[in-house]
Amino acid sequence: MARKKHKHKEQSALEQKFDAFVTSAVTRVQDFWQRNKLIIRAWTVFALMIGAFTTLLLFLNLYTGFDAWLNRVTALMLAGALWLLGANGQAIGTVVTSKIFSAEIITECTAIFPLMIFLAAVIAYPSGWKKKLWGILLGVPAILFVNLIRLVTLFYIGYWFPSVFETAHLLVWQSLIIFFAVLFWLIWVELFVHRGRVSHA
Amino acid sequence: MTRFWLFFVAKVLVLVLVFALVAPVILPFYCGLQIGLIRPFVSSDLALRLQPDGSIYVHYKGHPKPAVEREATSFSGLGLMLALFLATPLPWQRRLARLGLGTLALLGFHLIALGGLIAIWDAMFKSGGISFELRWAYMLIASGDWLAPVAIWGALGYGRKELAYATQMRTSKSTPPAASDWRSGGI
Repeated sequence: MARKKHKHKEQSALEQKFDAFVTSAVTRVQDFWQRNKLIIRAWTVFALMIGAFTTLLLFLNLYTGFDAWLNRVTALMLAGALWLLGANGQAIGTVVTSKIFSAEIITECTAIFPLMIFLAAVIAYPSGWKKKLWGILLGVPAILFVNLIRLVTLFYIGYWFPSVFETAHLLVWQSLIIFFAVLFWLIWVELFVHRGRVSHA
Repeated sequence: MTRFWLFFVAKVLVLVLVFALVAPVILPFYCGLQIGLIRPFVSSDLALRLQPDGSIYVHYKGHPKPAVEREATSFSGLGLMLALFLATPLPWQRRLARLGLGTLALLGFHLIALGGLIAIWDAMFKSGGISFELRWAYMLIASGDWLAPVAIWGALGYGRKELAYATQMRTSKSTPPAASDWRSGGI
């Protein structure tokens, strides 16, 4: 009888310990969620947006030939910029010719990937819709402009320093165009989101 | 604030250029490491070959034409990530610790991407066509090549702090951080 009582006491002590463990674990998870929910939400939205943009892009490329259209538009813009600079730029489909250099525009030459990253980051960052809209309205043309600068400078590098063209094309500018997308996002956060909060405070 | 940003941009530009100069030495080593790490997980029908410039060619044994070509320049994101971490004004010890962690994370992504590309090609080769899912996976890897360096930097270096500030702002409504606060270093 005494042994039975002792066993029962031991069991209830174990149950109490288990309950305390579960309660503390739940509290810890709740605390973690409370402290980090905006961060977790922002990263989740960012990942979902990247997934959604990738899927959308794939659908558009498969069913509407969006990539071919984008390549042609980029080629036209580049030819126009080269023409303005006096290099006689001409676009024939996706091929851009000029008196200094010629190249074919492919999807990686367009600003689509940096734009995807920028848009996903602006949409995911915790801020109001008006601020997001300003970010998109100013950021998208800025990224398109930097991409145009990238392509024009690559044409001149190909003409003046052909030996470093590949390095400039694939190692330097490819990194920098993504960096500029992030930089424009950081500037948007600093100028629109944080500064906006000061004025409302 | 403007000076702070200009200085940050200038540092990243210089570091990206420095990486471009040393890339012919670093990339073959980095790609060789990837081959060494992924070889045990690849089917015995496939052979992995490192090109002198650092590109990774995967081909079926007995077929000289490579099935998967992963150009060395696909890993240019490594340079951007190193530049971003080194340019971020955190105390040096913390900066280097995050740089090491970030490099491991990027290597992990590149290994998954290489394994994914091999699996996609293998499935395509065996089924004789490419399905929507395979195209989608390929597209995700392509997007990931652009995204991974900045996402890793954002998660380990800058983004956490920025968003932690945003959290603080929402809850306490105190004065928001300026870019200069970032200099003081840290989470």
